[in-house]
Amino acid sequence: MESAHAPSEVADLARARLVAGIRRCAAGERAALQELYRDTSAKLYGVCLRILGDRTEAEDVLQETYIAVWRQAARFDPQRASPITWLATIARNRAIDRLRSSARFRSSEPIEAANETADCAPLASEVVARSQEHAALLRCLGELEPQQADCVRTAFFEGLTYDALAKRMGVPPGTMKSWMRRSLMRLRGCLEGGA
Amino acid sequence: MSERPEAETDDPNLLAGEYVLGVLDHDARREAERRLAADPAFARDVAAWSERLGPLLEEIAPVSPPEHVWAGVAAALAPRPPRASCRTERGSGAPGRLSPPGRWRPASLRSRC
Repeated sequence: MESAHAPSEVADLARARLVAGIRRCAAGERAALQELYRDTSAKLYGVCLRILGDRTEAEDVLQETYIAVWRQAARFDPQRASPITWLATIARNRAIDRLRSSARFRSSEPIEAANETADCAPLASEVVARSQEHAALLRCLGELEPQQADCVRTAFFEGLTYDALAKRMGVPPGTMKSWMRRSLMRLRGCLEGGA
Repeated sequence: MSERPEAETDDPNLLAGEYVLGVLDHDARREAERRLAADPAFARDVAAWSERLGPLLEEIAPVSPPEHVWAGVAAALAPRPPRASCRTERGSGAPGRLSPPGRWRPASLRSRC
């Protein structure tokens, strides 16, 4: 399974514009970064906020993100990644790193009452599909056990480790890990033209 | 793709999925990043997982960041000319202070002259 990904048949304008913007950054054109920032910072800030839940931290990470975008622009490969996913992934990875390193400083992990609700992320069923790719992913998530699909969503949106997810769900970490790996395998199969 | 025994644990493709999902702890994450940098096949797996899970990002509502964030980015990446002008003002540019380390650091925001 190579890098076959979403066949974006229509090179839609927004996407083409972002690709061009990233390339111009790679060529050292500072104005391009500012345009890119104008077009995408609200999205990326939303991502940082979602993971970090703290404005100051999110602002910090957002700033680092665009500095990283400027530095890494030459590595962007539009054959392999869609530009907004590439940008948001940089933001999300940095936000998760920030989360991990701040968790290290807090000797006790931030644990929300580790039992109670065995709900990872509710609302999954209320999500409306935004694009074809999103619809396909929702459909495949819908084929998992609801609880396990919710865990995938929670992991993605909150950047929780296996341990933290396991605590939240009140299951042993090993169980969480095997649930998740099974979910990943099934998602992969489903998204790759499987059922 | 039927259920397989837990012996799957070494499947690098699943590790790529876990990395992208964000469930790895600090050390495992660093380890995955080292591999990402060194192993093109793993990097392809990571890219593929980013595309698979990326559509979830569409659910995140945009939020306008405060203005100072861009100001910080711009300042951090500002071109070097200020140094030149510092130099002219100082007359004879002392060579010693011409080259801050190539890397950006926050301190450089205020210490141009």
